Formats: sequence, C-alpha cells, structure tokens
Amino acid sequence: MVFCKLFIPSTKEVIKIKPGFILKKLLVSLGILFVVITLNFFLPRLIYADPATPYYAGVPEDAIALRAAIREEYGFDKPMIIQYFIYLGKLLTLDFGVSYIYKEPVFNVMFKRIPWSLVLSLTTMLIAVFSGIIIGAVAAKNRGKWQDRTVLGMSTLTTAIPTFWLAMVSVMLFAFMIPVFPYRGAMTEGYVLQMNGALFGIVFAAAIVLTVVLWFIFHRGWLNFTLPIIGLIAAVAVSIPFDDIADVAYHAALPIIVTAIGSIISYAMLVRNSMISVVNEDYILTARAKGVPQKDILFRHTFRNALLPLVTNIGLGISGLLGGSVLIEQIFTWPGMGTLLLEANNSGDFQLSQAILLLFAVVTIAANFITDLIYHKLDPRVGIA
Amino acid sequence: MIKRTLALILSLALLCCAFVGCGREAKHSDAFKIGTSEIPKTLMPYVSSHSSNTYVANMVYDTLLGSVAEPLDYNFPDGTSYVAPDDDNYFLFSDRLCKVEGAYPRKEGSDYGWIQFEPTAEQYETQLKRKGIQKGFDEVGDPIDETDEEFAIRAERAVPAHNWMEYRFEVRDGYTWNDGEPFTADDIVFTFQYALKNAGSLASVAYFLDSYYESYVDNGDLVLILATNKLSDIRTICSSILILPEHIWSEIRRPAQEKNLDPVGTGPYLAPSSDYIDDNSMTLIYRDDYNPAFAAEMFSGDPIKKITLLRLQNEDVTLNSLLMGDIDTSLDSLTAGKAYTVNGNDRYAGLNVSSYDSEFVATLALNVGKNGAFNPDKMKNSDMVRQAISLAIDQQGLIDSVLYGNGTTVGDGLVQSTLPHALKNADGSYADHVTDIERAKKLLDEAGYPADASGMRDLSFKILASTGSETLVNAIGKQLKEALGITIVFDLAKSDYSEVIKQSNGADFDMIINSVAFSTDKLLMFDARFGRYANGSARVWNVTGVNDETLSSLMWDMDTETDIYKQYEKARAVQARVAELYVEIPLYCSKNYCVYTDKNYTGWIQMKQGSVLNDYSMKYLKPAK
Repeated sequence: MVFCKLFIPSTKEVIKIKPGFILKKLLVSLGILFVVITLNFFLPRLIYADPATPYYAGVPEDAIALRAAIREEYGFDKPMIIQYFIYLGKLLTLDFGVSYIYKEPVFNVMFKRIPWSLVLSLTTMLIAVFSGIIIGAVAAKNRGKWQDRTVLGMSTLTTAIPTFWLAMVSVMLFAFMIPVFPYRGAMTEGYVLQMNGALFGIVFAAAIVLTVVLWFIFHRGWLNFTLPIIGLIAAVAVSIPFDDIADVAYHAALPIIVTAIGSIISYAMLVRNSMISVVNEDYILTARAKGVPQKDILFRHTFRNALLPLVTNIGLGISGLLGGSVLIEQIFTWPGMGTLLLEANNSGDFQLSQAILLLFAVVTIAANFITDLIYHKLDPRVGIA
Repeated sequence: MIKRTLALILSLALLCCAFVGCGREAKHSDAFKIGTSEIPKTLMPYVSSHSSNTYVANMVYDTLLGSVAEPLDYNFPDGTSYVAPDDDNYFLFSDRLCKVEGAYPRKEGSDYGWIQFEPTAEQYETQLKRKGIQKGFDEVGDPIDETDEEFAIRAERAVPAHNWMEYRFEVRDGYTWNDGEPFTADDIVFTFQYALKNAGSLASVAYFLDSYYESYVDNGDLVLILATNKLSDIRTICSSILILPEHIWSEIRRPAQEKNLDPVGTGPYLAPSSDYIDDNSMTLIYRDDYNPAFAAEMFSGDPIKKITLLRLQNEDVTLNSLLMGDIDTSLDSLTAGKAYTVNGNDRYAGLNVSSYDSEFVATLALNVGKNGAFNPDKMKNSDMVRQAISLAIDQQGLIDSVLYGNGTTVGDGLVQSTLPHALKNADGSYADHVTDIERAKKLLDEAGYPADASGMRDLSFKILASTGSETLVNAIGKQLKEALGITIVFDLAKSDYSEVIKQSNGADFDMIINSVAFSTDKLLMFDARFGRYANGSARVWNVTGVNDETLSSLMWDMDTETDIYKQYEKARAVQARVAELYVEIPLYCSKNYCVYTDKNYTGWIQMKQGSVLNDYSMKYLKPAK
C-alpha cells in the first residue's frame, strides 16, 4: 500500500499536471508511433530483394505466373508506397490482414497469445519488483554486512549466467533428471483453457468501474493500482475452473522461477545502489537532525527519491511485458508473443510481424507516457505549472 | 535473520511442492505419440511443406494410390512378405481410392491401365499455351522477357508432341468422407481442376501442372490424360495429390487463406479441432465409421486409435522425452552429431536409431560460367585445375570429420552406388570417386601453378556456402591446403532467395556448396541440370554455369526417354559426361536418422530408403505389454 501511495498519482495530483505537458507528451508519443509504423512497414521489406520471397515456398523457381499470382494475392505487385498507404488505411480500422502462416486474421492470432505472455511476464515482473525492492532495501540498510554481500554475490552470479542457459539447465534438471516440473507448454498435453469470457469481462469491467468511482470519491491513487489487480484476480478465479488455473500455475512455475531469479537481483541491486546514494544526501541528514521518525525518513525521503531509477526500469519492463523473453518462451514451448514474433520473422510473415511489432511499440509508448506521469508523482518538479 | 531466511526458503519450497501437485494426466495418455519441431499451422493439405503437415494430411486424406516402398527386411510380423515390382510394373503401388491396375500398362482385354496416344493438334496447342506458367532465366538469374517466338520455341521443347498418356482407373467403392457424404470419382476430377485453378495458392502441387492435361469421369471410372511421355509423372500424381471433397472445397475461394480445421477427408483418421492446440499439440482420432475392409489392408489387427503430435523444442528434449516414454518417435531426423552421441551411449540405452541414405549428394560446384573463377577464358588450364581439385578431395576424410563417419561415398557421376542407374565401370563395378594427390600435384605443376618453397600455390578460392556448411568448407579447405597448397576461404551466402539464384547462375563466386539428387524416379534433379533451352537461356540452378552441348543433348535424351530401364542407361551417360567435365565434385551422401523407442509400442519396420515412421510400422505397431 505504501508503495502504491508513492507511485500512483491521486485525482488532485493529476489535475495539477499542466495540460500542455500532457499534450506535448501525447504529440511526441504519436510522432514516435508514426515513425515506428513507417519503419515497421519498410524495414522488413528491405530484408528481401523481393518481399514476396517467403510466400513462394514450394513454388517452382521457373513458375513465374504462379509467383505473379501470389504477389497479386498478397498485394506485393503494387508499388511500395501504394502498399504503405493501403497499410496505413487498414491500420485505422484495426485491420492487420491475414497471417500467411496461420491462415487466420492477425488480430485473432495475436490476441490468443497475449494472455499467455502476460501470465509469464506479469507474474515474473510483480515477483521481481516486490522481492527486488525488499531485498534491495534490506541490503542497503545492512550495507557491508552478510545480507549485502549475499546480494552482491548473487548479482555477479546472475550477470555471469545467461537466463536462457539457466532455463535449459533447469529443464534438464527439474523436468528430466528429477521430473517434478513439466518441460513444455502452458497446460498439460491435450487441454485448452476453459474460460468463460463473458463472466471474466463482467467481473473485470466491474472492478474498473469501481476503481474509477472510488478514485473520484476518495482521490486515492493507490486505488488505481490495487483494485484492478484484485478485480483481475477475482475475474480469473470466477471465469476459469480451478483445475485449469492450477495446471497453468504448474506449467508456469519453472519458467517464472528461472526468469525471476535474475530480475529480482537486478531490481534489488538497483534499489540498493539508489538507496545508498540517497541515504548520504544532505536532506536526509537534515531530516534526521530535525528528529523526523525513521519510518518517515525511509518512506517519505529516502525511498521516494531512490525509486526514480526503479520507475524507469519498471517502465522499460512494462514495455517488454508482451514481448516477454523470446528464448524462455522457446525453451519452455510457451505459447506467448515472443515465440510468435520469432516464428513470424523466420517465416517472413510480414502481416503478423508488423502487427506484433506495432503492438509492442504502442505498449512501449504508453508505458513511457505513464512513466512520465509517475515521475511527476515522485518528483513534482516534472510537469507542474 | 537466519531464521527468517530459512523460513522464506522453506515457504518457497512448499510453494514449489504445491505447484508440483497441480500436474494432471495428459488427455490422450494412451495415444501413440510423435515428437515434431512444428505442429501444422494449417490443416490445408497443399499449403505447407513441413513434415508434420504432410504426415497429418496423409492420415486424414487419401491419394489415388498408395506408394509402396522397400522395407529392410522382406518378411513381416504377420507372415506376409514384400513383393518386389516386376519388369512390366516399374513402380509398386497399393490400392487406395482407385485400384492399382490403372497405373500399369493396359493389358489386352482390360479396360484399365495406361496407353500412349498421339495428341490432336487442338490438344497440343492448348497445352502449349498453358505451359506459359514456366519461364526461363538469363545468366544472372533474371527472368527473361521473351518474345512470343522465343516463348513458342521453349514451349515446344517443354511439351512433347507425341506419345501422350491416357490412364483409366477403376474407382473403389466403400469410401466415405468423414462427414458422412459419399465419395465419388467426381471428387477426384474436382481436385485436379481445383489444383489447376488455384495453382498459385496450392504451392506443393505446382509440379503436377507440368504434365496434367485433363481428367473426367466415364462410366464411373476416372480417365486421366497427361501431356507427357514420362512414366514417373504418374507416381507423383497418384501418390502425392490428396483428394479433396467437392462439397466442401467448391465453396472455398481462397484456399491459401484456409486453416481447414476439422478437415473432411476419406482417410482413417479425424483431426478434431478440439484436440488441435496451436503450436503445442494435436491428436488424430481413428474413425469409428472407417470401412473395415480398408482398415484390414492398412492395419494388422486393431488400428492405433489415437496419434498425438507434440511440439518439442530441440533434439535434447526429443531424446529425453523418448527416454521418459513421453513420445514414441520423432518426425524430425536427428543431426549426424546427435546420432553419433546416441549410438552406443549408455545414457540413451533403450533408444533405437535407424538410418538411411539421403537422396541428396553434397557437391562442390566450380563456377565455369561467364563471371566464374574457373571460366576457361579467365583461368589458364581451368580443366586441369578442376581435375586436380577433384583428385585432392578425400570423401572418406570429409565423412569422418563432418559426419562423424556416418555417410556414404559417391561416384564422380554424382549418384549413390545403391541406385539402379549408378555409373558403372567397364567391369560392371561401381565407379568410385578417385583420390590421387600425386597426380593432382602433377596436374597443377603442368597447368602452370607450381608450389612455392612453403608448398603453397598461387591459387586461392572462396567457397560460397550457408552457415550450416561452414564445417564442411573448413574441412575441404584443410584438405586442399594440405594436399595441394590451395587456399580456401569461407564466403557466407545470403539467405535471400533471389540473391541465391543470382549467385547460382553465372555470378562471380568461385565455388559453391551445392546438392543434387538422384533417386529411382527423379533421376537427376533440376538442381544439377546443366542443359539450356533452345533460345540459349539457362534453366535456373545451372550452378556451375557450364554450357556443354554434349551434356545438354544427353540430358534431353534422358529426360524424354519413356522406358525407365533405357532411361537409367541414359542417366549413366549423363553421369559420365558430368564426371568428365569436373565442374561438380561429389563430396558425400549424408544419412537421415530416425530415433524411436519400443517402450510403449513394438513392431517397428525399418525401410531401405525411408523413415521408420512409415505405412508398414503403422500397420504392425502394437502396444507393448
């Protein structure tokens, strides 16, 4: 709760933000988005001298008419600039086209994968951030003692050991040699998630509405954070059978543990170093001299200022949520967005890879925008009239 | 603090234990399980060429005839034996949607089988126009913008004017589509026409277009007319074109965008969408309504009721899954290195590896084309240098260093010794590749490339190859340096397809790692076609850039020969000429490795030239007690 209070702006704080600041940030974000869309369209096409090349798979080399028909079918016969404008027009209607490898609308293919990526990366991130903050704070508080030395040692170890290697070793160790965890997939073979989508939507929407209403009544920023999470958990609990939830948790455990180990230490080191540098600042000394209680010094002064770099890191982490870890998803055959992007790129499925990259860009830009707002909360000099 | 840390560790351990308790048994735990690197993205049979897609399509759909391959052991577990094809029937088929009689020469008194006939002028003209789908390439790989006259010359060369073939098949009664609709001969005709109409979308049937003229139903029989005089074409058509139901596919206008979930076929298995999990697994279920007579032909006793395909990450996971009994075999061939590791290793006890020669021969192609390093106009005594390089190549040495000793040597005619058309010596023995370093050195000295004091010569070449061939290039480089003092440099090939074509057709590379294929019915594949069209344009993949009239003429003779035994003889003449030119040096024939276990199912049948996951195995596999 204390962390949420630190991070999330209340109604009054949001109102305080200069409108020009938001507008400027929005325009910059839109500009970046436009550049990304443009690069996203042209770059994959520059990889191949003939962008229709992957679509020719299996077509004889001298079957020129067949190849021409394929070019026409997928629109590669038109000049590149015309293709670009057609692409822009379709984007406005959220028409991402049909995936060449999956034979399904790109929208459907992507949105089947997003929840799986979120299960892995969101859980990992939540565990990593909260554990990292606690461990980092403990290390900073006990600087030079065994707790600190342990964190430093772990940091060297996790930096030296690549996560994908750890994942491969974990699979061999805990799935084959001591078979306690599964080695593939998000659910036991043959099962698909039985989810009542409507019920999930109703419960989650109700939580969001409740959040907005309570935010207007109580003006408490932490509500924005806690209620949607509680709502999400409640929605999952009522809309998915327990067996399925448990099965997913069982399959997700090893990839989450493997990924979280490195992230926890990374966040812990960030918090530790940041807190150590803040603790020596004059204003902390002043607060102590004034007799401010230790708890207030820790949360109101030290933590608040020490968390600025953490916010940047979390912002970056949020932008990577959907992409997840391509290698981890590959190693555990996890059906997430990282695997999908890799597959789309390897198969030259432009429609799919463009849409995925665009989604990543939108999430990154939105995360940056939100990070800026949180920065304001932590450092009121940002964006205040 | 120590207590709190211990408590935290214990809590985490308990949490992990709780997760472990959440595992449940697989939905189809009793299924026959196959590992694969890819679950079919689509169940449209003609779109993907991945082995898993082909496997599933062949379980759900049927072809006109079954293709019978040669097992390693002619005696089967049920006491029956494999029957080799006789001289009249070059290929051995089995009944499927049609009866085999239709694929063999028509006997007197029979309505079924093939006959040759002279096409009418109208038929010939029609086919000439349809051949417009093909086009030639110039020396740098760009499509030729040909005039009508040039096109006509090429089309006339591509379409035989005489000896077309008419096949008449008796369609078998008793087949039904798995949605309950009756199967008819009209479905076959529909499939051919649909494939022709949607050729751009149905990539894998594109080769079929080369020889198909028309088909129709006559008195319930299927009549198929091919504009070809080559017998081998019928093998492709009969055993690789999967027949689609007209009542479903006539409604599908854009087959390239069809995922085809719950496919409707005549085969023995269903692929229900409820058991199809994208990129993870899929299960095929045996049809309860499958014709018992056909089932008796395909299965010895009870058929396997469920087949599950599981996507596995890599070879190590595949091998460990096999050890644990999670899968029974894999669709993907093991790499040579991994097969070497598995064989005789106690850790992998219980796993069986069967191997067979790949139909591809790895070669080192020397560029004698317009811009090539070995162009006789640019290099003095190019022919002697080429021969010297060939003589310095030690195939067994390459096999040992690149394939861990598991490969087969290949004759200079680019064909494996096991095939019927392998180049023979005068005494009938197989003509091996010759390694003679002393002779090679002498040739280079005579050619004007003497060795300096350090043994090196003024000869340096780049070998264009993909990253996967780097080990091979290094091994060749080592051999040529040690034997002749020639310097070899690895030149990474671009993966871009059009670039590869250009690199492969008269570009300025020195040497390239290539592969050519001979098989019983394909003879010399187009990868190694050295011939040129009448207007001078090269066939694509004229890798060496060679323009030899004798070779072109021999190739043409081999291609157009209708008697397969005479064709084999002509193939040997082609090989002899290829060997004389020293433009493509054979390196080795690698092996394909299939890995399987008897843990859950026994009765595997190994093939001479095929995977252990074959029709015979499917027939005889039984659950292990």
